[in-house]
Amino acid sequence: MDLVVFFLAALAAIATAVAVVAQKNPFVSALALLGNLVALAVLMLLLEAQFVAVAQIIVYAGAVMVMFLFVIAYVGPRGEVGPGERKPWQIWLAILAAALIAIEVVAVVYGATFSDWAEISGDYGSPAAIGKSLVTNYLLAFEIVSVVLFMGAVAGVIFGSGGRPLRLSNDEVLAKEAASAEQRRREDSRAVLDAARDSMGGDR
Amino acid sequence: MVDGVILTIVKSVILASVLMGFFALMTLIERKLIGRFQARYGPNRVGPYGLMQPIADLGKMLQKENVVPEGAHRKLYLAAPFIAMVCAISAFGLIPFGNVATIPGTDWTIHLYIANTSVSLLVVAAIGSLGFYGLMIGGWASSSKYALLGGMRSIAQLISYEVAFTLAVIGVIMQASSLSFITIANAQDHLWYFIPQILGFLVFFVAAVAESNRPPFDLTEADGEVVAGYHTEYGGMRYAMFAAAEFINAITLSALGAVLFFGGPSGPILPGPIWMLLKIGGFLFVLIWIRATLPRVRFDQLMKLGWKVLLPVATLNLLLTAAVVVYG
Amino acid sequence: MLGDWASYLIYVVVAAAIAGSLLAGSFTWSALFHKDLRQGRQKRRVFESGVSPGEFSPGNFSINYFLTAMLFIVFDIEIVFLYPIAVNLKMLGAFGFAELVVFVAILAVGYVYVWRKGALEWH
Repeated sequence: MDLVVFFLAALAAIATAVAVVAQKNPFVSALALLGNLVALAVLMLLLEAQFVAVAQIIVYAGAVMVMFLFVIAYVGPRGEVGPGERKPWQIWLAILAAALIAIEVVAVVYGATFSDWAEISGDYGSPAAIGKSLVTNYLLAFEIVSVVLFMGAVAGVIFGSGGRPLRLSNDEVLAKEAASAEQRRREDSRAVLDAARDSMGGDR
Repeated sequence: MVDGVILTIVKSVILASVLMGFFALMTLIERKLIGRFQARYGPNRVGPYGLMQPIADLGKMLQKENVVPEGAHRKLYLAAPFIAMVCAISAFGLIPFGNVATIPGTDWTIHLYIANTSVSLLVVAAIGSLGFYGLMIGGWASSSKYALLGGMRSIAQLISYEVAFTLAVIGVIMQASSLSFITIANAQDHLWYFIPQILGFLVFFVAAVAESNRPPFDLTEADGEVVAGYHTEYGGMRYAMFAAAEFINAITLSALGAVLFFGGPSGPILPGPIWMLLKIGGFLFVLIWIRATLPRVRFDQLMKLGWKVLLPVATLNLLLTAAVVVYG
Repeated sequence: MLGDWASYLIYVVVAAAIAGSLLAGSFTWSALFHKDLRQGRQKRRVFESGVSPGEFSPGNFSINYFLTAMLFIVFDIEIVFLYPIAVNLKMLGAFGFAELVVFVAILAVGYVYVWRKGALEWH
C-alpha cells in the first residue's frame, strides 16, 4: 500500500513538475504547480510529516496559489504564450544548474547508506510535537515569523496602492468632483456653441 | 489504518453514500421548508410527499445535453465541477460518527470513523480550500465575463471568511488540546463547547454560512449583478455537480459545528450516527431558516464584516480563551 | 508509513469515483441519445442577455482582490503557526501564553496599519 501510494505520488509530482515548465498556457501551468504541491503533500504524509503536509496544502496550495491564479486569470494573457527570446547564456546557465543538481543527487545517493524504516517516536510530525519545538528550540524564529508576516502585510498594502494612498481624503474627493464637473460644464457649452454655429450654416 | 483494507473500502462507500443520500434528502427538505416559509406547499407531486423529487431531478439533469461554450478551455471547463465535487465529498471524510461499535449478534467491532489523525481539523480546512479552485477554474475556463467576475468574487469571499473561520476554532483547540475530532468530541463529555466558546461559536457560524455560499452571503449568485456567478455557463449535470458541491460543503461545515461545539456523536438513548445526523440536520434547518428570513448583503458589507468584525472578534476570543486555559 | 492516512486516501478515491460517475453518466447519455441534436454556433454562445458578447477580454481588475489575496496569505500563515501553539497551550502554561500574546500583538500592529491605510475598504 505504502509503496503503491509512493510511486503514484512520485509519478504525479514529476509529471506535474514537467507540465509546469512545458505548458504554454500560464493558467494551466499554475494549475500544474498546484497539482505538484498536492503530490508533494502526499509524499510528506508517507514520511509521517502530517502537520507539514497539511500546512503545505493550506499555505501554498490554498493561499499562495490563489494569488498567483488571481493575477494570471484576471490580468494575464488568456491563450497560449509563445516561446520568448532565448539568450544563449540562459541556456548555458540552465545546463550548468541541471548538471550541478545531477551531481548532487548522485553524490548523495552513493554517499548514503540505506537502511530499513527509521525509528521515530509516536507523535513525530504531529502538531503537538511541532508546537513544542516551536516555542522551545526555535522560539526566536517563531517570533521573527510574526515580524516577517507584519512586513508582508505592509508590503502588500504599499505595492497594492502603487505609492498612492488607497483612500482619498474627503477634501480630495470633493476637489476631484468639482474639477470634473467644471470640465463637463465647459464641454457641454462648447457643444452647444458648435451646434448653434452649424445650424446657422454660417461661413467660416 | 483503524480497520482492514476491505472494511475501510466498505466503510468509505457507506459513508459517501450516506452523505449523498442525506444531501438528496436535505435538498428536498430545503425546498419544502422554503415553500412553507412562503405559505405554499413545495414539491409534493413525485412520490409520496414528493419524496422521489431528488431522484427525478437527478434523472432530468442526467438527460441534459453537454454544451461547452464558445472559446472555453474544454478540459478545464469539464474538470472544474469534478474538482469542486471531489473536494466537497473528501472534506467530509474525517467527520466521526462515534467511537467503536459492536455489530449486534457478533463480537465484531468496527470504528465509526474512516481515520483518526492528529491534524483532522486542518485537513478539512485544507481540502476545503482546494475546493475553491473548482470555482476559480470554472469561472476562468468558461470565457464569459459574468463567470469570471463571479469566480473572482467567490474566491475573494471564501478566502476572507476562511481567515475568520480558522481563527474562530482555535479556542476549541486550546480547550481540547488536540486537532483530532475524536479527542475534541470526547473532551466535551461534561460540557459542550458552545457554552464556554460562545463568542468563537458565533464567529464560526457566521463564517460557515459565508463559506458555504448560503444566503444571505450568496453573493456569488447575485443574479442582478453577476447572473449566476462562476457557473453561469454551466448546465445539466455539470451545473448540478457545482450545486451539489456547494450543498455538501454546507453539510460538512454543519458537521464540523456539531463536532466542535455540540459534542459530536454523543447524546442519550440514540446511537452516535443518528445523533450526528440530527445535529447536522439541526444546523441545516437554521441555515434554511436564515435563507428564508434575511435579504442578501452587499459585497462591500460582506468584506467589511469578514475583515473588520469577525477577524478582530475571533482574535479577541483566542486571547481570552488562552488566558482562561492558562490561568483559569 | 501511511497509517490512518491510507484509509483517508481510500475514501478520497471513492469520492472521486462518485463525482466521476456522475460526469461519465451524463456523457454516456449524451453519446447514446443526443446524436441527432443540432450543433449550432448560437447554442454555444456565452451569456450576454441576447447581445453578441464580442471579443472576450478580462478587462479591469480591482486592486482590492489582489490586496485581499495578499492579506489572506499573511493571516493564513499566522493561523497555521497558531495551531501548534494552541494544541500545546495547556502544557506550556504562562510561558506559552506570553509567547502567544507577543506573536499576536506584532500582527495586530500590522492589522491596524492595514486598516488605517484603507486596504480593507471596498468600493
